[in-house]
Amino acid sequence: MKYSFGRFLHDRLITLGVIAAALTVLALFLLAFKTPVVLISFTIIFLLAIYLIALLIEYFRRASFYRNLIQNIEQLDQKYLVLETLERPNFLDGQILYDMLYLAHKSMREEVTHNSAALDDFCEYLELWIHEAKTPISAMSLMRCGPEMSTELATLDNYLEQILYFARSKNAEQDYLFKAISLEQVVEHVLEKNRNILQKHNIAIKVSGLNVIVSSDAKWLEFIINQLLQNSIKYGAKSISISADQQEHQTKLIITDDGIGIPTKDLPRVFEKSFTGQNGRKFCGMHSTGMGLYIVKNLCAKLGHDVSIASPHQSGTEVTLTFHDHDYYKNVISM
Amino acid sequence: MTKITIIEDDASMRRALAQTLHEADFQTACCNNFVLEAPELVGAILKEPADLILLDLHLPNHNGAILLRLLRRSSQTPVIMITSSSSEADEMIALDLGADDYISKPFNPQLLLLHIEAVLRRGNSQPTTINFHNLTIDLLSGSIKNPNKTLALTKNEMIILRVLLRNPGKIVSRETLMTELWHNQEYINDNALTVNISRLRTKFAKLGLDKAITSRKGLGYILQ
Repeated sequence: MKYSFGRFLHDRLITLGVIAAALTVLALFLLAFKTPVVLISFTIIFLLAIYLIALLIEYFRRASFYRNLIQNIEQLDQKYLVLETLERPNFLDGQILYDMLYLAHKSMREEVTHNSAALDDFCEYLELWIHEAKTPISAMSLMRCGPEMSTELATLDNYLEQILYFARSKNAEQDYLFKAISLEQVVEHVLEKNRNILQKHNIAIKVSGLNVIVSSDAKWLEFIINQLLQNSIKYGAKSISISADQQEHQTKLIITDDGIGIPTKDLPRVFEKSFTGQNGRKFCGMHSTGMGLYIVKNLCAKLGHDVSIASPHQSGTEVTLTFHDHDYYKNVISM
Repeated sequence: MTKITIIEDDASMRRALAQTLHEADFQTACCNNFVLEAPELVGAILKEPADLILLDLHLPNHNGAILLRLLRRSSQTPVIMITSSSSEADEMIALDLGADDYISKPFNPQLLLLHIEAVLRRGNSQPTTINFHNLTIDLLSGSIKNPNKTLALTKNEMIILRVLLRNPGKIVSRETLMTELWHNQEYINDNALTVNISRLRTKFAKLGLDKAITSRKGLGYILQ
């Protein structure tokens, strides 16, 4: 979109046509009265010049407003804020546009505020509800239940956690707490939580080099690693190895399994929302929600970690979490 | 007998906790009068002398953290907070206000017992050597010896033996042993546990104690 004099004239083709016709009629009329040609030419040129001046004045009044409007909209990230950058124009159609945009903007903002308040309410209730739901699960796991039951309860708890963190990853509320945490401890918590299911499937666990400190939120990280471990278990791993690799400015946590892996064509999409892929459909029936890795990716983005996934030999999966060693974190932690 | 006060609003959770603790040979007392104002509630809790308090963070009418602060003003009884929160901040606040430990719902019973034992143990200093029949068990160097011979134990064997020694003459379930092993970053499976137990038995036998560890089918192991 561009606001140029050419387009401005084009918009006034009808007026221009009418004026051209009027001038032609005037010229013919004057000719009929035997007015000298010089005088006719002068009159026509004089009238044309006056009209041109009027047009230019009209053009410049509009041009500055519309050019600003177009340019600011192009440059703004949040395009709906454009009205804040403009002054109310001094010509009628601009004023109408400005006032109506203002009303539309205001009603849109009310709608958005209303919706986001409703969403906040819902998330708050959801979180409260999840904490309530954890009490009976907790009571059940204290009542003498066998490993089968414990496994089911752990699965249920895992689903609750998933929705909890999904709600959190959406919410702007930042309730994470960065501190120096030991990977060894986080991994221990996750493995302990999944002990029954790991033993039920007779999965061998290898951990190495985890005696490393990274900056992260322990709970969120626990959730992330838990999701990754759940995936390994779900997709037929018989052995899972968890290791850390500390480099100069970053630390990598690598989780490798020997499960069915991920087909190459599905790999780029595994972090997409609701993507289940060939394995999800074939292996888990209806049990793959396609949300696990999506939430993991989201949380990692919020925490500033990187997550990548590879399936090098068409079998087995290797997930790498990268923790960057920013000075920023150090400052935050030492505060 | 060690006495534990349970402060938890959910009735079935309270019963389940009490049962778990009874089975582990703890005496329990419950407090469920949450209509009281915080200071009176704390008074009621402290009227019953206990060795440890399990305190739920989310209580009706009360904030566990505030109760904890009031408790700490007049008592040094160890407190373990039960949190259902998945946010680190709550737990940091709990520790900051003087809780000795926390555990998040849902937890497995063995893990709770492990936390309780750890907190209780913190109070009394740990012996570094334990005498058992005519053997000396050195917890620091991880070895068992009789007057003639010393045998070194592996880390796994040591962990298992420590649990058995804490419960002499009592049945220790495989589940308990597993929890403790996994808690110590030894992620072994069922077969490996059996192997470790039989190695431990062989070592005891070499030092002249044949029947130190007996198995009770379906229940666990007993050290006597």
